[in-house]
Amino acid sequence: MKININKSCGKNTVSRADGKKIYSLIVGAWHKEKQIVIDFGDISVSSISFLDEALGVLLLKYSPKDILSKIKLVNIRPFDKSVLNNIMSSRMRDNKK
Amino acid sequence: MVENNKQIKPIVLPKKLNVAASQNIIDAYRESLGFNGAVMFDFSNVTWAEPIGLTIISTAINRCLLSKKSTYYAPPKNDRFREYLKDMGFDNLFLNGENYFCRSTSLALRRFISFDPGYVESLVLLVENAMNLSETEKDHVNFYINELLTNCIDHSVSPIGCYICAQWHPQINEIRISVADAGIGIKESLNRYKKYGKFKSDEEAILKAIEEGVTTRKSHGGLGLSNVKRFLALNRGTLTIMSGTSKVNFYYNKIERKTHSSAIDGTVVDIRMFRGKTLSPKTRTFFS
Repeated sequence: MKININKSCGKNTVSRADGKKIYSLIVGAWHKEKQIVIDFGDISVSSISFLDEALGVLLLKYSPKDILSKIKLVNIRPFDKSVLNNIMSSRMRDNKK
Repeated sequence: MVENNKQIKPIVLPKKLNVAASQNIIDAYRESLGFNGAVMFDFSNVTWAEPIGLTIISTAINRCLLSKKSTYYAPPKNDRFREYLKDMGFDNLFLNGENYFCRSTSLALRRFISFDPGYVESLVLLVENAMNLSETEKDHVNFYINELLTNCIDHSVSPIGCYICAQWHPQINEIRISVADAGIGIKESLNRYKKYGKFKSDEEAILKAIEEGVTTRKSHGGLGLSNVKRFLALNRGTLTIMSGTSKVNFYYNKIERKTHSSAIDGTVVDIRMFRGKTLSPKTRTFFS
């Protein structure tokens, strides 16, 4: 299954509410799909709120191993990937508490 | 001074608008908001301002304007400081809307009511130039600033948004960033959600807010202040948070608390970073 950020959110890739749309799509497909491809379409997101709500929050529900095996990111800008990795690290530290 | 036979209250600002003068700045802030009539922000004695001073005074001026209070300005006598205020975009924001040429060592005073990626980018660029950051460090700085501003806009419930500006002092290898809002403050914000119990003091609430994962979002969040604190600890920098009557300075090795005799509405954050001391926090590469 492929989730296209551009198609799902258009230019609205800033707020948590925007990110929630992607999160809902991922969770909805989680048990039905072997792999979920998130296509960023090379857009610049930069918003921590959006990325955290769309993907970071998955760590509150699923294990890092499950997320890595299920989610594949394509056409994501290096900067956004770096921000996302930062978010994932923070969420993992948060979970350990 | 008089305006239509009514008294204009002069709000005399201290000589230095810096963290150390926070009590005097807050007194001026309270005085301007507490007076039910025309006020004049008197900058005549001011010779120096750090971003924190500019952002706090800007919130006070904006709130006076918002309450339709006649608001006047007495310029600084010091020519260099008057020029500095202009270059920081103060005149543009509050006086004449004229264009200005921001110095390469500053990021002009700006009011945020919604997230502005362009400004964040400029701020990161200033920090990058000032601190000679690596790509990884640049990403981290972007992350912290981004989250800090988003939190400020999302949670402060500020009627005027927030003010931000930054200053690089190359001579002392230091960069200062300040964000101030005029919202409900940290204690009220945490108390509203009841998730963490009831906080009696502003200091207690600030110390809680700095913990990782603490958020006033209904479900999750809280990446902002704890991350900024961690980064600054690695940099040997300082994070100062003012909210209500409390001011807490977070140094890498100690916490310094101060109680002001008067309260500020909302929250003020001041960040001090040093060039050449940045260390990249260890971040696991989750998505490779």
